[in-house]
Amino acid sequence: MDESALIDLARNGDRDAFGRLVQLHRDAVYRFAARWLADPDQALDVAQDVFVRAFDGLKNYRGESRFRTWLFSITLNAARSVARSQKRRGEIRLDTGAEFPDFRTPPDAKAARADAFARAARELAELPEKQRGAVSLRIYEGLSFKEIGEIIGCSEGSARVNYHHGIQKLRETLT
Amino acid sequence: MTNPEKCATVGELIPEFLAGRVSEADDKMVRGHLESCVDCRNRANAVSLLQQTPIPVPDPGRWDSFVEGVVGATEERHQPGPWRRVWNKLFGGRGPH
Repeated sequence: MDESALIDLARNGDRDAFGRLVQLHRDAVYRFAARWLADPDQALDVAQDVFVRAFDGLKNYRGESRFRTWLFSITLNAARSVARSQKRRGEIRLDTGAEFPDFRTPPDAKAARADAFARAARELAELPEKQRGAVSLRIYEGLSFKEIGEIIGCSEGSARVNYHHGIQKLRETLT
Repeated sequence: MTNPEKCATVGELIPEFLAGRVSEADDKMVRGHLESCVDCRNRANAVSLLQQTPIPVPDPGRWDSFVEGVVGATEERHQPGPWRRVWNKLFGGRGPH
């Protein structure tokens, strides 16, 4: 069964069909939230919230954008809101990189690599939100600038400009 | 030598180029440009580093039960509340007007 048929069924309350949609998009939604929040537990909470909101909002989904694009815009709003309240409480975690031990790499190189990853994640997180969104959605999800614009709330041209500005800043800070 | 238009084109293709998802012609064009443009090479290095940055690993138990958890949460949200349950019991599910 294709995605649009599953969406139609889920819109009419079919939870099995909705479960299959969740299965199809779980990885992408989690990945996006986890990169934004750098915390797997919070990312799972956000991902769950995104799908629950999506189920409630299916009646408003008109299919004008890809289903995944629509899910990403819900994810971005949810992750931003969690990150803002986290920031207000002063709890920022950017320890990405420490969770993947690679026993083939010597300890010094491993530590340097983990540092480089943590620094890269930190610099990405420091970008203004639209630049961060544009860069993340382009480099991790391979989305078009039109789709990115729909998600971050701007035109295709502005999404492109945000991406280039973000990449330029990262070039300056990471190289 | 820097060519702003070429740099912009290459800059947009870098993520797909690094992921090996560009056409043969684009691959050749990006490679050629990166050889001669230090700025774009630095941009490509920054993107490459970010692309390799690992994703925080979720708790396996929560991950495995994720779909059931979401579907269960949608069911809970659509359960009638306590007052609605009393109403349904008294009036057989006819809605108040």
